[in-house]
Amino acid sequence: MSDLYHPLILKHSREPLHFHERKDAEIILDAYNPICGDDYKIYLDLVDDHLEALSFDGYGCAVSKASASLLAQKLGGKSRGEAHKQLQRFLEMVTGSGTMIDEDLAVFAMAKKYPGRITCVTLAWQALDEFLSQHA
Amino acid sequence: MSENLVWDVDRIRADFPIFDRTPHIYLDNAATTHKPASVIKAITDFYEMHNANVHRGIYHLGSAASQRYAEARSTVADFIGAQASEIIFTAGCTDSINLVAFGLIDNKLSEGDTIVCLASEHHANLVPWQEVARRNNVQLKILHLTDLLDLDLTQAYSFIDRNTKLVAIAHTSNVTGARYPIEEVIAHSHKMGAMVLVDAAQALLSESVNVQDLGADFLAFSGHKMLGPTGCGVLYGRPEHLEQMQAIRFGGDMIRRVEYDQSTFAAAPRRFEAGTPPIAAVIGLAKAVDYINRVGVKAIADHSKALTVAAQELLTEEGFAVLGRPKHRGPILSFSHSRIHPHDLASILDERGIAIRAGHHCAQPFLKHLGLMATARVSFSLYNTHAEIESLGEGLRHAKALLL
Ligand SMILES: Cc1ncc(COP(=O)(O)O)c(C=O)c1O
Repeated sequence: MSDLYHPLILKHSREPLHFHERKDAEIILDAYNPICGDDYKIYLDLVDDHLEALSFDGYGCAVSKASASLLAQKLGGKSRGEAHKQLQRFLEMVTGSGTMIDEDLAVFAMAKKYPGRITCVTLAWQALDEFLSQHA
Repeated sequence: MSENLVWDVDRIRADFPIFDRTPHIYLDNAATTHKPASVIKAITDFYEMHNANVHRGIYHLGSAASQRYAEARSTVADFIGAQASEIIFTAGCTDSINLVAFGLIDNKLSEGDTIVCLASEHHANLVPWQEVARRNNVQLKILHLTDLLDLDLTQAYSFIDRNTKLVAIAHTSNVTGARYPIEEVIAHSHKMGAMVLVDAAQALLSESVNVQDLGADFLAFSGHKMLGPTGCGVLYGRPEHLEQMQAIRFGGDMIRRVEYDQSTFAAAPRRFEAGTPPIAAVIGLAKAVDYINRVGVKAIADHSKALTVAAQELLTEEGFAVLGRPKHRGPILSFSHSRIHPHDLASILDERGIAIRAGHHCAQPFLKHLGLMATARVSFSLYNTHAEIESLGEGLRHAKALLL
């Protein structure tokens, strides 16, 4: 069994959660990787400072799609502060030395072994991180 | 290897040390080829026994280095049917194209002129022309391909007209492997008074190229895609063009006489080789040419062709769409699958020790035009085997089982 293609990643890539367009979303973010062409949009509303109705759609590889799906699943409904904390912990885990309490998200720690694929794992997370950092 | 011996791929593979050190299946030869031991040894020998700069030393080592550099130029020139004085050593194919773009074409354009590029050109044979066109306020016209992703000559004949100053065209596409009918394009372009630069980066291991027969004005290629080291490439130019072409890099070695207020420049090819050249790389490239000549371009091409045909069958059987159906094809195949992303495929194959390319292959506008973000690509060379294609097949089936 491949490390990169963990069953959970495969499951989310085949049947991504919250995978739908929402043109009337309050906030629409671009998660685009010019190097490989992966291109997603992330949709959310900020209600009482919480990330509500978080969804995404677009095109990309199994890894980037699964990671966007998990982002939508794990961060939807969270408060802005909590979501940002989780996001940054996730990015630290993938790019540095952090660990993740959430077992599902911990699956992406293997990305460290595949430097060429780290941007696939972080694509959606980085887009949301950028937004939350700018609007802290 | 003599021509009447059967192709012995094990003997060929034994010439490439990387297969011993790092066992893998290498199907990305269009990006760069591996290097035979003779090439690697020529480079280390140079540094261990013969190291000196060229065009300088009175002492023995210096003149020997200059002589080796000159001999290498003759070897490489012979390989493409050129005179030594007609080839310039550059940093690579990209560098060669830039030299023509900014040393010659940039000074020759006037209002109403056009430059023509093929839709599938590598960025190296597109972006310099975009830039030259922009600076001179002339039009860069893109010649699109047929549905089979081949070049339609009738269309090319009406497209390339008396306003065309230069046609920049690949001999073989690094995306689809299409071998374009460049002979006809060159003949027509010359009738219209246009020059033709042939990007031969993917050409020299898939057929023997002779610049006299071809009639191209310029031919550009990189050493590292033909068993040579990185860091050096070649620009061939017809002597009358080289005479008109101006240097774009100035300094030592390219001069005739230097005064404080002005200088005069050397004749071609020296005028275009300012500074210390990549001496060891050039010597390595000449060794690569020796190796290719020993094995034979035709034998290499036939072997790679057979692998390409087998791979095309395999890909189709496994449900992958091979990009384009050109009339003639070099040893390169791009392919895609509606539900498998090329990067996933490349990663899954990589875990099985199979190196393929996934991405836009430095032809972003072409893929975009075809409605694709990326494709997977395999490309073959003399040391690949039919067993490797079987492994590729297993890998493809594994990827499908995993992802679909
Ligand atoms: C058709 C073609 N042209 C030009 C180039 C550029 O070669 P280099 O990067 O060695 O300058 C390549 C390399 O990928 C190529 O395939």
